[in-house]
Amino acid sequence: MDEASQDWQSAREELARITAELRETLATLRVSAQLAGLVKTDLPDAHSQLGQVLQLTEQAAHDTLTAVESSLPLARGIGEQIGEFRMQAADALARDERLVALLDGIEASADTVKVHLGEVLMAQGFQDITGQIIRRVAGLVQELEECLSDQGCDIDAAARQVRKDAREAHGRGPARPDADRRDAVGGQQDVDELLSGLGI
Amino acid sequence: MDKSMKILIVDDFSTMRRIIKNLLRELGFSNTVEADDGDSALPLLKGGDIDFLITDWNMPNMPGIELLKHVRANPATRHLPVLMVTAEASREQIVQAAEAGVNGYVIKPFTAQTLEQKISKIFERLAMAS
Repeated sequence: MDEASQDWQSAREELARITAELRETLATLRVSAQLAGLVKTDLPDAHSQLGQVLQLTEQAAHDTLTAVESSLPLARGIGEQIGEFRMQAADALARDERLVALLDGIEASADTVKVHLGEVLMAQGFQDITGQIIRRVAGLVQELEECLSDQGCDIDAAARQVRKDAREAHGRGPARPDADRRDAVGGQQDVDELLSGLGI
Repeated sequence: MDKSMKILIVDDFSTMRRIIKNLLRELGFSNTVEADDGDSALPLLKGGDIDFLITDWNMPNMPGIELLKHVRANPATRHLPVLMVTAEASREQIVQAAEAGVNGYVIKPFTAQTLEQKISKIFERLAMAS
């Protein structure tokens, strides 16, 4: 290889190196720009949207509870009114079996409505369980936001452990069916067995 | 069991407090007060007229397990019956609550029947002990 083509070769190599470096730097810049967007807008948005879910489900659960609270006394009232009616209209009822059957039907329906209202009441407990899960995820989003911000977060393992312990003291949150929680009880029956073994 | 006893319900979720309050009313207990965590429950307990405490575990500021320890450490409330109603489901925590002196432990989500059974059991045991 003559001198000219050697120069040409090393110039090409140098150009390739610079291009690669430039590509890498540009990629990093793009990532930084994306990260900046994530920290400035996306993560705070995600956090506030989770807050919105919490607020909406809480309001819906309260609205449902208000409707249940106003309906339960009505269902109870129907039962009482039927009792009153049976006394007032004893003569008519003694003469006509169809009236008795009709009243029995109304009474049974009122009882069923009462049972279903009780189920609607208990089902609103979902807001507590989902709310706890959403709060946890929102906390995680906030932590991620802090870590990616210019100030950065405390990556010291000991400090992280202290924070984790502090969170654990407040509870671990609802058990997750998909997670490996070997220490978790399967339900109320397991709790009862465990406690009865401890004399409670 | 005295149906007019005063029951303190402690939970950070207002919907859950409302559910428990309604269940208790259906069971005939209408004398209830509420607090949203251990810190706000303590002043109510200092009043000395609370007969029964139902508390969640996972709450901001003072969690239920700390509240239970406070209740047992204070001579005025040492014998107060405490029922924990919580989603905390690890065996370790249930044992921890038992060691701290809890009288009953209901896991969320729960049924009206479970709550009724546990309340009855607590008061049956207290009646037997006295």
